[in-house]
Amino acid sequence: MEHSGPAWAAALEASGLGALMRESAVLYPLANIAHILGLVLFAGSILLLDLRLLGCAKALPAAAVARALAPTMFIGFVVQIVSGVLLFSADARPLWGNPVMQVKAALIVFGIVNALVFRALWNRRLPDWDDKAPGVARAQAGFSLCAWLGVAVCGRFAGYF
Amino acid sequence: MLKFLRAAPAAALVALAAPAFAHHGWGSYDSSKTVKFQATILEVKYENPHVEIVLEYQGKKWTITLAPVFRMQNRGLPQPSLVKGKTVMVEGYASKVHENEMRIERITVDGKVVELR
Repeated sequence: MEHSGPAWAAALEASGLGALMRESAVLYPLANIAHILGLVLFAGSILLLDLRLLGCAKALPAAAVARALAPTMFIGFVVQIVSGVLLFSADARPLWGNPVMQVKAALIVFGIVNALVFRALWNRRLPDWDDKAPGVARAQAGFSLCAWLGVAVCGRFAGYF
Repeated sequence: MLKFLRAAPAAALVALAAPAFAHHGWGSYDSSKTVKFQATILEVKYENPHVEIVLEYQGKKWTITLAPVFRMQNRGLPQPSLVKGKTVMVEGYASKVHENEMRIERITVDGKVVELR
């Protein structure tokens, strides 16, 4: 099947990296495995923090939970970006043309913006939230939960679409 | 939290139902009708995520989806074994989604039958 697509996707697919990912028997499955392990680290940490902000496990101070989960969240995010770019490069044009992948990309952008806004608005006030976070912050935690679960669902579903 | 637990079975059901749309699974291929034929390889893409070859079948060119590179090598079909001009026998199912695409369960190359599922 021939695919058209944006110039950047064509360039990525035609790059040495794209060729390497398509041709190597080992790199592609390794990147796939990394993408699953990264998901566990990243989405796992995010879900736990979001659940805490939504009111679960109130015995644990919100600020301490956020601090404890930050390293796995960050490492997981880096693993996801790197392994995701590797997988994407093998098959960039058809993947970009896949509507499920476009939803995934939009959800990732939304999730990142949501997290940055959350950080800018509330980071210093986390210690005051041991009982209950403000409504807007809880809504953002809910958006975050839905967005990142949606990203995981889209990622898996794209292969079936 | 309780609501989450109640939602879990529904989520599991969705997860199980998903392969019905499968490209990765076999659900999007018409497994009620086995297609088996012999043809000469017209093109080879020995690539991830799936190795593909092009064969002519009933007057049309078909994209024949095989297995990922690692599995192909593992099951005894390295790149040099699939070259343009070689005659192979394939057995598989036509896609219900993409026109002129089929997924191959079993391929015979140089007299050797290789299972790809």
